[in-house]
Amino acid sequence: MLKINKESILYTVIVLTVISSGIALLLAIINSVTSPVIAKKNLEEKGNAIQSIYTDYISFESTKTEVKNAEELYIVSHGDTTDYCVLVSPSGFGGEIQMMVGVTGDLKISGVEIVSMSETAGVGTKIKNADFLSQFIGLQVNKISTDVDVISGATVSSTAAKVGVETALDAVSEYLKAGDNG
Amino acid sequence: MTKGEFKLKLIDGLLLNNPVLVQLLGMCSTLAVTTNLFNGLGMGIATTIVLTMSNLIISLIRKFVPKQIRIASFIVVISGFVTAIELLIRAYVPVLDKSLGIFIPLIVVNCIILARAEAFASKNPPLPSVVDGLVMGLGFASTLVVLSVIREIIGYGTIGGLNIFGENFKGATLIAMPAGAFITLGIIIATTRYFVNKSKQKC
Repeated sequence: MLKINKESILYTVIVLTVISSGIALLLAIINSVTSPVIAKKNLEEKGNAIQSIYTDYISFESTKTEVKNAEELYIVSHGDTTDYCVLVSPSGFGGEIQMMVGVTGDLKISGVEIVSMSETAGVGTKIKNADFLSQFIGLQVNKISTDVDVISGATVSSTAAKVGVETALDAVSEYLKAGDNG
Repeated sequence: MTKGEFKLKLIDGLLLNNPVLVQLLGMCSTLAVTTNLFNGLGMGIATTIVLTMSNLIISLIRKFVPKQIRIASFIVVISGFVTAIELLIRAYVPVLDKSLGIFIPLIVVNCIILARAEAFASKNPPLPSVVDGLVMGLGFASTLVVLSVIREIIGYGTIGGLNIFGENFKGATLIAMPAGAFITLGIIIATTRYFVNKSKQKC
C-alpha cells in the first residue's frame, strides 16, 4: 500500500481542501433550502410594516431606484391613492435601526414603523412605543427637529429615529424631483 | 457507555466542569445575550447543537488531520456548522434571529467549542465526543437559562415576556445592563462553588 507522509505539504493541502469542500457542499445544500424561505419572510416583514402604516394597503412595489442614504423606496397603492414608503437604517446606539417610514405625495409623514433594531432593551427600545412614533405623523421635513420630543435616557436612539425620518423625506422628495425632470 | 458513566459525565458538565461556571469560557455570549429567557435558551440550544455536531465531525476526521493544520480544520468545521445554524434560524425562527443578531455568527469564536474540539474531540472516538459535546452544551445552556431568568425577573419583572409583578413594577435596569450580567454571574458562581465545596467535604 502507498505510504502517505503525513508531514508533507501536499498532504496538508489536500486534507484542508477536502474538509473545506465538504463544508462548502453542506452549506450549499442548506442555503438552497433556506434562501427562498428567508426571502419570503423578508418580503412578508416589509409588507407587514407597510400595512401597519397604510391600513388600507392593497399592494406595494419597489422602485428599485438608487436613493440617497435609504435602502429602498416603495410605491404603495392604498385606498384609491398612491403614497410612498422608504426603508431606512440610521445608526442608533447599538447598531443600525431598520425602520419603515410612510411618506405622502405632498411630503408629509404618514407613519413610522420600526422593523428591527438592536438598541438597549428597556431603554433605547422605547422608540418603538406608539407615544414616540405617533409624534411624527403629519409633520413636514422642517418640523421634525423642533416638534418631536426625544425620550429622556434614550437620546441617541430617538435622534437616530429622527434622522431616519428626515432621510426618508429627502429620499422621496429627490425621487419626485427626478420624476418631474424625466 | 453505560448509564452510570453518562450520569457522571452529565454531573461533570453541569457542575464540576461547567464550561461557564468553572472554566469561565464563552463569556462574550454568556454576558451579552442573557437579557431574557428566550434569548438565553435560544443561544444555549444553538451552541449545544454546534458543539455536538462539530465534536462528532472533528472526532471522525481526527486521524487524517495533520497536527500543523488542526486548528484551521477545526475552525472550518465549526464555522460551517455555525453558518448552517444561522441560516436555519433565520429561515425558521426569525424572531430569535432578530433578538440575537450578531451573536449567532459569533458562536464561531465561542471558546467552549474550540476548547472541546482541541481538548477532547481531537483525541477521542466519535461516541464519547458526541456525549462530551452534549453535556458541555447542556452545562452552557443551563447556566445561560438560570442567568437570563434571574436577570429578566429583576431587570424587567417578567419571565419569558410574561409580566409577573404587575404593570407598576419598574425593573432594576442595572441588572439588565452588561454590568448586571457580571454581578449576577459572580453571584451564581459563588453560590454553586459553595454547594459543590460543601458536598465535597461531606464525601
